[in-house]
Amino acid sequence: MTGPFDPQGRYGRYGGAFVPETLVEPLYELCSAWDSVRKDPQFHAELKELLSHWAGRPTPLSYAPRLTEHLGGPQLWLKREDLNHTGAHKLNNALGQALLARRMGKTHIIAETGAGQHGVATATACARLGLDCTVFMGTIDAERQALNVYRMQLLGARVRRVDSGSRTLKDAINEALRHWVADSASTYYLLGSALGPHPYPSIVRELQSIIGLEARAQVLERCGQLPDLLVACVGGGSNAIGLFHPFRDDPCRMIGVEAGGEGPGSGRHAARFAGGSVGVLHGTRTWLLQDEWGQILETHSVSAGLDYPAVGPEHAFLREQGRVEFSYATDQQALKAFRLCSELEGIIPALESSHALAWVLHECAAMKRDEVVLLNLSGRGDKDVAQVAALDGKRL
Amino acid sequence: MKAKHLSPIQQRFELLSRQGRKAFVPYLSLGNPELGSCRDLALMLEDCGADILELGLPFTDPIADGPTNQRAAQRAIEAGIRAEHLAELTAELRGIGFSLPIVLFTYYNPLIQLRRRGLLGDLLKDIDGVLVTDLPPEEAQEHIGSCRESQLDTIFLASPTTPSSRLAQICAVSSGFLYCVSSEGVTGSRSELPKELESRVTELKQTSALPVCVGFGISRREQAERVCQVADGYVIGSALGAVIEDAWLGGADPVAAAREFVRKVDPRGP
Ligand SMILES: Cc1ncc(COP(=O)(O)O)c(C=O)c1O
Repeated sequence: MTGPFDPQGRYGRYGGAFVPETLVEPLYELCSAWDSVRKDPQFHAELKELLSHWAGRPTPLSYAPRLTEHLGGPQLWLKREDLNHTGAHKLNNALGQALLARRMGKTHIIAETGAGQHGVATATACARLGLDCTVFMGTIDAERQALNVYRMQLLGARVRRVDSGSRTLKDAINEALRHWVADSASTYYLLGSALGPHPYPSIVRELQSIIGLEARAQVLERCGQLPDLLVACVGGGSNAIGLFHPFRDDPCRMIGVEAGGEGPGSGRHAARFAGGSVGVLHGTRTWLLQDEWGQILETHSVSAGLDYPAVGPEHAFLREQGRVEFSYATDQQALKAFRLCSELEGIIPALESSHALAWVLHECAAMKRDEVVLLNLSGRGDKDVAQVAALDGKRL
Repeated sequence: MKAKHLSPIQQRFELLSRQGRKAFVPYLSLGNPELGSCRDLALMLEDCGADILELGLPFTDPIADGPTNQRAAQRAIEAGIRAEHLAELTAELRGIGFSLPIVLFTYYNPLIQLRRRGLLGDLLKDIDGVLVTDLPPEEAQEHIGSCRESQLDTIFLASPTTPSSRLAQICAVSSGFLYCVSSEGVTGSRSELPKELESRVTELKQTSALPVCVGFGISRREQAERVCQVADGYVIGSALGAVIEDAWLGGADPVAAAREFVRKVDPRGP
């Protein structure tokens, strides 16, 4: 029998399942349901059908000629998760888990959201599958992502604003966990990133690996070679692990880009590897931003989706192994990349994805012209337009 | 461990069992409403016949706590209260003759950092047991080792969702007493305790020789009375915290309000 304390739930010294006793049994139930579902060809057929004919997969791999020219170094290729239904990679996970929940006989889905993208993806999947949906969202995030709040409501979901703690993603997760503790029999907690107690990090990785699987085949076909460098932004780490995992045995360099906010020295950032240390938050042992007493620090990023104090446990492990390197981009660098990508490629990227692009623009100019950089454009920036306009002093 | 040595918590339950009494275990959140009042509240509780004091060390992300305890923790953290203050308070209490065993109630991350910095023994020297709400036995080897080293009892929880097959494992790593969570959900008052409560407590008592205390959701005398029929003690947390908070916010004396509440709720005769 599989369970939350299995060795597969550990990534070196990271991972595990640090949860209140009441959640141990629901995690066992989730482990065994996932274990049987992932071996079931019918589940995969159902998921594939929805991903291709409803969500629009596979997403394209686009060459970015004008950014490449601007950079003056390697060829830049974009994996277009912005063209996935609902505008980000989040739906890959939400749809898979919603199908799993339905198979488990759960009628009520709860989810947390930061940028609102996972909330929208979950509300969308629930609408399609006829499941009841409640999304928890910090009041600060609900304010800066008002458009997504309304989208969720249009999709039939309830949005519960969370006004405790720092009123952002971490507090939304707290509230979702509390809700799950109170009613685990009928509720399925649909966690949105490669975080939390086992089996969530491995479920999310498997469901997001479609990004890397498609990208690997596409880049081989289009470029006739593997990429030299893979880059993705890292909030909890789901789009990054989804891209990286299928390339794990290939000779590609991999970079995860965290939110540098106003710079790691400022105390206003979410660069866990630049300013954090090891601890336990939301059920998993990983790198997080905390003070010397183990209190979790407030984070800051211009992008709500990266504004979270802990990183997925597998990333902590891959970094320790030297397999993935981590860096960060600041708010200003990300905003610059956001504009550049819009102007030069006709793609308005999510502020989250703009962090990955900002790193490439800053670090890759010296690479050779025949080298290939593959960047995960994890989402589109429509949700960020009002916020960027406001930073420009414009009210829409 | 020495054969005859009993921990302070064990001694307390020995005494209670000789007297045929049940344990009253009140919970105070460190720094609720202020650090100074915690000392007076603890003294009042001892005076009112409490047997064990649970002290909550606040954590920024209390996923197992309801609104009352969340607010108390947030207030304390904003006031700069840390584990050092826990050590100061407990040392002060011991200095003025407070004799009840103290159980630390917290989340794992603050404890990890104390352990990493080598402060566990020092800052917890006047504490007798530790209960970590987000640490199941399967993840607790390191924690149990360091608690044994510092002569701290390790209290683990059994919840309504815990299958019978895990109870033995929970009992095996527990010392002092077992904490039986009355019902699913976070801390906070419940209008009703579940009907399965008695059978769960009975099952725990058949699994282990440890005393069993029931907590989560107890706020009324009838509930405490019902728990005392089967268990060895009852815990009152959020309901007491709410009384303290209300008095403080309303400009009344939290200690007097809490004393009156305890008199009303505690069903045990003199
Ligand atoms: C477009 C987009 N990219 C990235 C992220 C960050 O999440 P993760 O690190 O799990 O991919 C988010 C989160 O909301 C997002 O909306």
